[in-house]
Amino acid sequence: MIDVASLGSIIDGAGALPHHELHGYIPEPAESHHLFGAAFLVVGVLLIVETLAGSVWHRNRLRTTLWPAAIMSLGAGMVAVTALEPDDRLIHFTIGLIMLAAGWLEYRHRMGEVPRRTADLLIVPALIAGALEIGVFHFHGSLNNFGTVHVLLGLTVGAMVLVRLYQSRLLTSPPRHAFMGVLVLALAFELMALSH
Amino acid sequence: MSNNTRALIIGLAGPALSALGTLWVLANVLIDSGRELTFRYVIFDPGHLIIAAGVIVSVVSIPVAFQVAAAAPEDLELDLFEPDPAEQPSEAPATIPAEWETAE
Repeated sequence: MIDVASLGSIIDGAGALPHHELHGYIPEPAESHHLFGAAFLVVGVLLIVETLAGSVWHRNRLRTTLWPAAIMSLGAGMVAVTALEPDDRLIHFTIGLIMLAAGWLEYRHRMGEVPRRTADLLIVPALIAGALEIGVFHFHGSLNNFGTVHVLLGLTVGAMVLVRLYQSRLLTSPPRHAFMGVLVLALAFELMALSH
Repeated sequence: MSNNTRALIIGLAGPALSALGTLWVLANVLIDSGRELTFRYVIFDPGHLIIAAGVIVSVVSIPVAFQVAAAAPEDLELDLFEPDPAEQPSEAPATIPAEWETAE
């Protein structure tokens, strides 16, 4: 006989798995931020490697799709966080969707299917929305470790908007390309610095 | 920047990252020596994650370093991914087709 009351404790009113029931199996908020930080660290270094390697990097199609695929995977991971993390669900879900959409357009651009300007029409507003969500709405009005790191994350994503636009003006410029990698590295270390 | 310098930087990126992670772990041990070493701590601790990231970067970038060292300088320029204009839908022809003219 199934105890209905025990089932009720497994699934909460919002239809999601409550955090405390899964404690020990899923990462804590700080731990998941560290995981995302590590993923951004790999992506950031590989963006700089891509700049240094030039067209040698694109001899392998898998390598060409690595950057958009990584962004899409991280976006999917963020959507998964929505199901597991009870706080700030809307923010995590929206950022996840933004990353999925931006990664998909970057993939289509890299495949030569859409021009850079068309890709930027979605990627730039997506980055602006991401910067506002992380830096403003995720800030929660407190300059503790959590608040400060999220303000820094928002500022870094905001800087990515400027670099993306600057990069689009001269697509063959290695320093501009590498600068985006440096910002992704900054994002990675900021995520690693989170300790709540 | 010469091919060899680029190849050296690319090849050392992963190991340098792992070295940074190792320093992070050592610094953490010195600052917080009383911490219990659990499996969960190892897989989510930033220092250990940086070491793992360095290993992943090494796996991808070391073969690239060899290719870069052997490449021609023009192969090290950045690629443009803009769509081929020949594949874009063409506008209406500016000239009148010859068969239309002969029909008159």
